[in-house]
Amino acid sequence: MMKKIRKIIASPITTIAAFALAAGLLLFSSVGGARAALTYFSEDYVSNIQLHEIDVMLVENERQVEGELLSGLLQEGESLKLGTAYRENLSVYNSGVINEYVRVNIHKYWIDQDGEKICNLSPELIELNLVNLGTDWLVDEEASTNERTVLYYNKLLASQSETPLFADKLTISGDVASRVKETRETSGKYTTITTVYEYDGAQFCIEAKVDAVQEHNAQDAIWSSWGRRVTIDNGVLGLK
Amino acid sequence: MRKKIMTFILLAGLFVTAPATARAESLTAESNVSFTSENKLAADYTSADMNNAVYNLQPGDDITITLNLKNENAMAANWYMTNEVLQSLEETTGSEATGGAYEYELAYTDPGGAREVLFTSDTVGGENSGSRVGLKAATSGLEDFLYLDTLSPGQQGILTLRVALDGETEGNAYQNTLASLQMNFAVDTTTVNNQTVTHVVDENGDPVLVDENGNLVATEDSSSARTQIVRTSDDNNLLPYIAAAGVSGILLLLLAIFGVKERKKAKSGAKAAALGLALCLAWSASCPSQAAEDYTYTLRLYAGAQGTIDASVIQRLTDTGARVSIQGGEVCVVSGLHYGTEITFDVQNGVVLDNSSKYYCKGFRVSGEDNNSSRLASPSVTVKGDTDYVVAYGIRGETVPYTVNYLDTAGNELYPPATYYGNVGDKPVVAYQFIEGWQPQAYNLGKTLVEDASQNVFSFIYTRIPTVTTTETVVVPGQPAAPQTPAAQPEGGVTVVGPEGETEGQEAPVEPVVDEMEDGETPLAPPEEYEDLDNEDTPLGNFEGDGDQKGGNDAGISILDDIATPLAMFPAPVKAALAALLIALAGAAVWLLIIACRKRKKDEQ
Repeated sequence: MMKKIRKIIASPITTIAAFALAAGLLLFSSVGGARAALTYFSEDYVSNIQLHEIDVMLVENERQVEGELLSGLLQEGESLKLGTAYRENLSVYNSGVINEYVRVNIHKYWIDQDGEKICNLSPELIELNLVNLGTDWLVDEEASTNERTVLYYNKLLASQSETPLFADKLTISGDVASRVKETRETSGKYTTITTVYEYDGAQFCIEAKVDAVQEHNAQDAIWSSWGRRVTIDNGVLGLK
Repeated sequence: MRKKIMTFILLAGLFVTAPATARAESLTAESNVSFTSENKLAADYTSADMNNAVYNLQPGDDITITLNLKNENAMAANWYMTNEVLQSLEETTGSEATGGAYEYELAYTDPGGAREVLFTSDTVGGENSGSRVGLKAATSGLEDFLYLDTLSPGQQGILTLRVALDGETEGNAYQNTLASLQMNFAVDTTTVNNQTVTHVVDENGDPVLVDENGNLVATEDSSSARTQIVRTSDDNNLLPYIAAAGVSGILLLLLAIFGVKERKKAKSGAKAAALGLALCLAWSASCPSQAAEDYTYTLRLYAGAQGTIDASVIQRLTDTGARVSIQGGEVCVVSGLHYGTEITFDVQNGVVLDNSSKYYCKGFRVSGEDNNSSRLASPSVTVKGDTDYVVAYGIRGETVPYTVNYLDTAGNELYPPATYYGNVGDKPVVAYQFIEGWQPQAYNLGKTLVEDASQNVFSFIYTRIPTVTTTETVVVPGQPAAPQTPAAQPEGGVTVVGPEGETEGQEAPVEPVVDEMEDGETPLAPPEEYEDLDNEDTPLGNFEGDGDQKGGNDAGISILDDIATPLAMFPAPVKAALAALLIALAGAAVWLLIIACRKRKKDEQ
């Protein structure tokens, strides 16, 4: 009997099993005491912080537009007539999720056939008729020049809502035709008079850029983002 | 007359601006977390409550989450917490948000009204190239359970977490971004483990031991209990099991060795197996040249909300007829500029920030455009129209590492050091690690981080906890009074008083005698809840051992201490395992020696 037991103990399987068990038990004895055990745990307390989209659109003749505009100003084959007022309703739409304050930068200028800016042609002959000034829109006189007009909407513009119009007509002044340069050249008995229209070959440009700023902390936000000091009192924006 | 004029273009530029601010709009959310009488941690908040508050956040806003921690249990409870940022705004899928900064403050107010700031920084995130993005930099050291307080039954503590979004640095890229913060709480009721040992004595003052019915069982041996610091480890008594495992392991090891030996008798080669076990453990067009002189332009450079501007901001101006004026330090106006004029701004010199400002001037941008680096204007501007610019500011995230050490009074390491990251100027609070048998000088340490990482060291200094025995004497009734306990004796049987002082049946008069410290040790004062390392004259980072306490420079003792201290820090189960391992190794060595001797003897024969 003892001989049989000795044989079993001496077998490689028994030896390997004994070593494995010994190692396992010894390892258990060393890690058992290191278990951390706080007794009662809460559920996860998760809090999210989400920033929503702020967005704005220019509205032309009741149509939200992006990129090049005035595509519907003239009918096909129709030519622009000087001194004629064309319908050009412009406003701003809050297409974002949050309420916002908005401003519009309007630049008027002339360019040549190569697209280069013509600096000696007067932007004043491009007449964009501004409306609702003082009631809904404020003109920033400090920042405005012949070429640029800066308008601030003086109320908070709610999400998915539209401002009153800030412009309703576009006219190219008839004075353009009277701006001629006449040169006289005498050769013997003859004098040649050449009349050159200053605006010959020029194109007019109107550029409108709309900025929006969030509702919260708007006074400081406008200062920081636009550089302009404004006041906001009960949601009414004023220029300092 | 030719009327060859006018085609028309109306260009609409649509730009949206996200903002900046100095005054925040504050939102709040408040909930209760209670440790109930049913031993459960219950909260009364709902996700909907939280979402209503936080979804209204905009850059420049802040939110303060207040959690009232209430102990409604009959037992005192230790409260712990973790705080982790699961996702920062910058990590929103598809977002290119970067460079935004946050203010982050986690604070606890105890029932007495004392407020402890666990973490605070107003420059979390920023322009940081570290591995922890945005808000995640705030919780580097808060993701493991941090001890808050021990609340007695009925007591309430208040935890507040304030997160502010910096308006100056979080621009358009931060639209439609989402961050998630998480907090967890845990309590442990095994607070203080003062145990009372009751000595039951007979009339002569001789110790006796009685059973539940008051019957004399045997003469009582004196026993001891000790006071412990807050224990977060398993409260089950695992020692018997571990000891049994250890002993079983040793027996099996011996059995295996025996098996090898037996097998060797038949064939040789068991050495490798024995040694094996030992090892086993072990975006511009140029100006046309014919540009007219009739029209001139105006450029404005606004200082914005963070700094002031002076004339030195103009570094170069090619139009000598232009006029420069500084208006109230807020705006530099350059007028009379002809088309094509080159003008160079130097905002680094011309814009002055307050010394205490957390911002730096990183350039300028077209008014209304975003603040991120990709939208900044070139310092040299070619005049093409009336234009406004605004100075752009950023916050640098100067991440530095800080190390937490766990040392004994001699400076020996008791637990592996931990390294975390924070911004220069941050003041993180780190929590101690529970080490059985040792008590730190404070549960939490706080320190302001500096650029020199070697000074950003938080060292918990542990002192060994002395053993305390509280002895009470109970006299068995019906026997002559013990000399030291002359109290009146009630009739009836006496029950041995349990460790928590509970009795069953009728109580015997109990007279506390003394609290005894073993080996003449003096009691330790409890650890401070918070220690501000900024107030210390000598930084603990370069800790030097306490010579007096360790008996000077005796090299021999020092060596023994070096060995003994780490051994002493191990919990009992580890000690048992080590002992078992040593015994096994010793047995194997003896066995190998015997084999070697026999072999030599055999060779000699």
